[in-house]
Amino acid sequence: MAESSSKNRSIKWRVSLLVIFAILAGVGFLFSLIKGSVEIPITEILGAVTGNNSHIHENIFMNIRLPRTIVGALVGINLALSGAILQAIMKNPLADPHIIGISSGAGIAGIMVLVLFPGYEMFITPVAFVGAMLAAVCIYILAWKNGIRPVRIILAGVAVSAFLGAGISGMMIFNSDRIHNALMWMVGGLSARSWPHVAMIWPYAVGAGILAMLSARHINILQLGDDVAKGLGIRVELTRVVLTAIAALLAASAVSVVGLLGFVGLIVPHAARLMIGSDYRFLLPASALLGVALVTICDTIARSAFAPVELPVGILMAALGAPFFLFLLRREL
Amino acid sequence: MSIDVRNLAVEINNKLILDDVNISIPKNKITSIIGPNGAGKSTLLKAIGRINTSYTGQIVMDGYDIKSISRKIFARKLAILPQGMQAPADVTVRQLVDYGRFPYRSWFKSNKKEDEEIVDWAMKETKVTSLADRQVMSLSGGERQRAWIAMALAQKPEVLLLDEPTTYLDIAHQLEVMDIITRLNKELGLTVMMVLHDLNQAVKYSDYLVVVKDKGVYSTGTPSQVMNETVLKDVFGVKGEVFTNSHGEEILAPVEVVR
Repeated sequence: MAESSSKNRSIKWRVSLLVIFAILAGVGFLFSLIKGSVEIPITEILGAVTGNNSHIHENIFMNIRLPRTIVGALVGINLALSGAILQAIMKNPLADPHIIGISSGAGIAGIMVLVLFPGYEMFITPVAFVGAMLAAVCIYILAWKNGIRPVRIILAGVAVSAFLGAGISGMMIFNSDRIHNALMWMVGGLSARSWPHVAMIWPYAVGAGILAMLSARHINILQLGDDVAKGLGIRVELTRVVLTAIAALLAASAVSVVGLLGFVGLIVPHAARLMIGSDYRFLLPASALLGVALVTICDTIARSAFAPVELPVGILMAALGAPFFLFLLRREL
Repeated sequence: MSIDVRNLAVEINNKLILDDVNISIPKNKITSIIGPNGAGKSTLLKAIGRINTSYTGQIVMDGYDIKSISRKIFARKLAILPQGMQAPADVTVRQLVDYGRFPYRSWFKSNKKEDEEIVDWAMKETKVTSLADRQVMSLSGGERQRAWIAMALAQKPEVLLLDEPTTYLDIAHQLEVMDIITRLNKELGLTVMMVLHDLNQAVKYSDYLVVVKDKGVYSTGTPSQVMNETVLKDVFGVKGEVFTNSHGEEILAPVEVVR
């Protein structure tokens, strides 16, 4: 955990931080709506929202910008919450659905649907959830030896991730005719994400998000260690399974929509923890808000900085996240 | 709250740690478990504290098998502090003690005012009120141990279990912690059961001793009934003397290892 300053984090201070994070999320959201190959003035956005002007940009806004931004925001929430939960239950500062291999589990299951059963896209999220849970179970089994040790979790995650990555590559080679869809999945991007994708992700974001928030007090107690948590009346094993399922569901629904977008679940909860502390009643909402800010801002930069080439946001995220991972690795393990 | 352990056997990783343990822990008294390393002291404590539930036999509290009591209700009756406790770096003493109120909360109800009063009371009892806003992990060993005891007290338990509460503390802090435990026992009628390493402390502060050796109970009784040269030799493998100091307390003085 962070060896942060001895500054006393009062409730007031933490609530004000949450407000700042909410503003940041709002700014990121707006930035993503305005910026792009076509700039949409903010007055037009307001007009489109209130529905009292029809302009040439309205089409772009309603059918491209707005849904894409919403998908980005929800993906940011899901991945950040998933990472925050995994870090607590795996007692591992480096846990992130992508690094740990849970996203790969969701990914391979999702690609199986895309490639082998095209036309059944509506089943991608549930199938990806099963894949994510199976990956999580594998990691636990591989890493479990007289309790959980952080280093073993990472190594088991890397192994599972590599194995599943090979499976994904294999499937793509054998089905090269349908590769384009799957290729987008590998890096993780928001390109061409629209209303159907919003529909795919929002029920899971809302449902699993609420469940995550309701678990905040339990997660706090789990951070005191399994024995103390049991002594305080928590059913530790059951709680860990339920929380793993919530984290897997959050990750799977994000992966179903944008593919293997990494490092959001690593960077965001850490940044949030440094500022707001390890009380999950504050850390979870803080992570969700910063997740919105990070993904919307990064996606906007990725698609506008190198115009007319549009980078998948996953590339930018990996460029940011990998050095961050190494920094944490040196500091925490 | 009386606790009876009946035919307890514990296996961990296919290795038998405790076998056929039968003891009764007296109500409102301080009981210490003593014995050599690996005899199963902590295992016994963890079974009674319901941290480890994979045992055979029965542990009965006030006539109920502890496994039949809901976990939260159990946590209101019995608090246990295991060894080597850790908290996230930024958790303050007040926050930690407040976690002791967890068994009284649910998603739908909590009593903020009552919780706050009990947290204040628990910190006062263990003399950590002045440390309330300090981070637990930044405290000295003795202060930290007192903060954890305050958390256990906030559970408002009738029974308090402690696993080596004085290990790694210097002697003044050891006595301070033992004094607090004794006072809680006397003033609140708290039933205390702890694993102790230091035999002289066990004799000085306990009403009742449970001597554990080779997966089983060697003997039980008051310190003066239990402690003698034979126990030192048979259980701990040392030759030693037992004499009375100027305060009228029994002192064990080990002399050498029995070969």
